[in-house]
Amino acid sequence: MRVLGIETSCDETAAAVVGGDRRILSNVVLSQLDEHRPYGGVVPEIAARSHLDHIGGLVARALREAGTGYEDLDGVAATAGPGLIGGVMVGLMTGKAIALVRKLPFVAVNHMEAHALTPRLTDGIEFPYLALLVSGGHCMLLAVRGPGGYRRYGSTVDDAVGEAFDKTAKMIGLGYPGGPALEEAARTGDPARFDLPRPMLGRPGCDFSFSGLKTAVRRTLDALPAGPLDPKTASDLAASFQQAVADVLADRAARAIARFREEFPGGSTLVVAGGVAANRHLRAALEKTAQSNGMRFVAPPLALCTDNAAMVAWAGIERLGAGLTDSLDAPARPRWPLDETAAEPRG
Amino acid sequence: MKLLAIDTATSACSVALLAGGRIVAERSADMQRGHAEALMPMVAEVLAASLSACPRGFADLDLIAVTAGPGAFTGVRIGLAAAGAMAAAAGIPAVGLTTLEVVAAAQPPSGRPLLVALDAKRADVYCQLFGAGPDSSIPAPLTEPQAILPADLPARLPAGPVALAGDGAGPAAAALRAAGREVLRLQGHDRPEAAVLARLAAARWQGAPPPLGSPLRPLYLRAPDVSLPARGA
Repeated sequence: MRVLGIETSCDETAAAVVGGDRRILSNVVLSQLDEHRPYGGVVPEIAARSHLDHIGGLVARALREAGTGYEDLDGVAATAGPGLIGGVMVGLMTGKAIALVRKLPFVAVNHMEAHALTPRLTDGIEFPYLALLVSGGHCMLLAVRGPGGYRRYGSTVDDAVGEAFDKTAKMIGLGYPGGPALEEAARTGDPARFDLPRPMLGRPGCDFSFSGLKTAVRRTLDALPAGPLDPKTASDLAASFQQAVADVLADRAARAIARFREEFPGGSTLVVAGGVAANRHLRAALEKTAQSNGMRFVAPPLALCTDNAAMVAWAGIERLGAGLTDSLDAPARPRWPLDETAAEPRG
Repeated sequence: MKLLAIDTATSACSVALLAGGRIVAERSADMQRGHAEALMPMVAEVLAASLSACPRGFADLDLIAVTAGPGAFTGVRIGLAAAGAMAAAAGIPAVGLTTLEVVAAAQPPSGRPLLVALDAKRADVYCQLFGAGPDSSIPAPLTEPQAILPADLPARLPAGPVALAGDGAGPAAAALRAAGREVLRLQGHDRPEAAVLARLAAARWQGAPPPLGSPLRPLYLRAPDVSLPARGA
């Protein structure tokens, strides 16, 4: 079984070929960072144009690097949402067109499901497991029962965690993209220098909130002498912010573990995935939480936490294996909750 | 020559298959949105209705043709992404033609220069001027495609009467008439149609198809609507 995966939902254009034996035969990613950097954030129209300019070449390269022809494929999977609709359309139409011409089954993949299923590709873990999905657009805790089978325990009531990183990095003047820049600055900083709040800490449930933390960073900055921050203060503030986020994620994850244990006595793995899971400090904090709660901890390698198409191809393999395919009139969905029966999550 | 033509660039979605110089099957629907959902089923229907001419489906085709803009940005990308991927997967070339020339090719001969003006959903219109050649089905452009305010049109056009077509012709005609210009408004083919695109592409590439893998380039005529942040923000 070989599936072509296509990802165009944000600012990376990506294509990959993955085998049913969990082998990643190719995985090519083209980042648009340089195109968006002058604007300090992803510009949807620029992203969509860039996806169209590059998708054809990337698919050809992914097939070539995998030593795979169209005739060797068993399916095509493309991200259909959630994400920036103009970009999603480019990958979605590319996938549908290939599926139609080559008479292949087509899978319209939920980008967050692709993140959630990645640990099965990288570590072969069994269902059910508990997943913390953290990215620029999302922050949620889910019980994962199987492809299409998710129970949401909590999500953010305001900003996504990656969004909080990006905005905070911007405020501190750390450049773009904010997440990696903030992590780098925090490496040498003192996390105890600034006393920042831990929103939701100790509260019942598993929801998140980051806007208060962001406001606290703003207030802290306002209280400092005017003018550019000295590097030490910037590092300390970054470290203090990152520690606050780590504490909140660990607290929420611990609550979710308790609930997961009750509902799924057979499950024993905590997974963290999504772009923010590339942050080493947060990974370490969550690993500690898992261990102290008797759970195995799994986080995909950094390159498979950030957006990529290998995870999309893998989600396609999982869904094909479960008999889940989509017709060629499948829509692009800018918002697409993983647990369809629940109310749409915010953020 | 056997070719498949698709258009999703404006407020319609259409697909046509041409073989042996005639349109074998076509599908068309008006739509403001939903092209991404409608296009592939429409292509499948057209192929299913063309089995006598193309019994092996895509394997019998020589070329894919698509409208590359100007039009709705998302619509342009839907068509180009689909056409590029269909061509690559079928191992055949793809070509892009402009929406303006496709609308021009649909107009009856009028003996005057033809201005095609398409709705740009803004104050300006997408337009291009074509010559009154002997064969109006193969338009001869006199200007480049451009986005222009209707009020600026009279000064940009050569003197004399013009024919006018396209779904942006209303504001263009009003501006020209207000400037005292004589305008012949052509009716009936105001938007690109895949069947016209197919005939135009067949005429242009008959006997000399473009090389495999020739890139398809979108024609947006407008930069992304974004401004640089203020310094220090």
